[in-house]
Amino acid sequence: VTGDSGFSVEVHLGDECLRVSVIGELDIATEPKLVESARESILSSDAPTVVVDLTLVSFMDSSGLRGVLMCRDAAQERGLALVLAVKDGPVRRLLDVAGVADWFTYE
Amino acid sequence: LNGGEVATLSDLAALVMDELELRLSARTALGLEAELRRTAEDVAGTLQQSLLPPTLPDVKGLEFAARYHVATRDQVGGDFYDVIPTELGCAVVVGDACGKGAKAAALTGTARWTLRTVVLHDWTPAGALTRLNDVLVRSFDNPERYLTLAVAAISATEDGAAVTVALGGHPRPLIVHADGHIEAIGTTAPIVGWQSDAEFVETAAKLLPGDALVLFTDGTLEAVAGRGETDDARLRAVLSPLGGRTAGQIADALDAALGDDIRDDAAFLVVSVL
Repeated sequence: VTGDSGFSVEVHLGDECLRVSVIGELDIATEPKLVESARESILSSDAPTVVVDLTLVSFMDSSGLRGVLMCRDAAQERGLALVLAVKDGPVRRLLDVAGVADWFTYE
Repeated sequence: LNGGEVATLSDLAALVMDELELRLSARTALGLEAELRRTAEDVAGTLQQSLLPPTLPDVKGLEFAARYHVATRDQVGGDFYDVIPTELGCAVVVGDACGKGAKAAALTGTARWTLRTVVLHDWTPAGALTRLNDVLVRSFDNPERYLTLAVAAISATEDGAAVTVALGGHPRPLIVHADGHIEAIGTTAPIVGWQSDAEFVETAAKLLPGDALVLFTDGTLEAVAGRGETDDARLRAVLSPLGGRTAGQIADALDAALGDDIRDDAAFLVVSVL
């Protein structure tokens, strides 16, 4: 899915894991696209692990965080483990300030 | 005029009529749009005012000042603040509801009035966040249900004031000591309203006369430090020269430092000890 200002979500289904790669700015405008693309894939995935890759997210706000949390809810609904891929920087710091960093495991 | 010329002229006339009608309907649409926008701004403004205290109360030994900016005038912002007199002093709240518009306003209203109810008797900041978290997790069955909050209990003491802070996914408030030293207060805890087992932690501090407590939203931080920035170093640098000033003076100076291009909602509240 490609949209505003180069934002895109790529979903890749392997045998062992469903990988959701988010690219661009994850905010109030783009968050619905993440939820739309990722939620259905997660709910219909047979792979035991879901990886949400945020390493190419250049900006994330509280609405963007909600999108990530909704992916986590969808994974829990399916009994799947959700793993985040993040690098040090604004996204990681937002997770820390929001007090949700330990709600996830990391790649 | 022959028959062919008459036909051409009437074709031309029809074209002109079509063009006129298009222009007329465009003008009408523009007028309608302007009116819709005015109505939206009016609704947003009225709703916004209902979510903020009309005046800040008088609490002995303390002075308050708050500032509020919305990113877009035709939508209700997600930021809010409140000051509530309590049995032992006051409760001070700064929050940021996830999202914008009517849904964020409903969440803000629920949070504001839940907190106003909880602090009536025998309350603590962490207890208030736990109660609010319970209310939101149980009653908001939609994803527009979380917010970040800083809640402080402040009471006057013999030599200043005692403050206790609890955070829910919110940037740490800053104490501006009279000598310009800046100290962050609060312990990181999860956002409020998403997960039923969230635990909130209290941190206490002493404020002396001339000290001030500044609570703010991430929009304030970003307006000072840059988009997406969560580091409070720039904000500390703005506040440090303001040591010893009153809440009103600190609020004016911080407001001036926000810059003109505020992209997110921004709210902050300053409490100074007299």
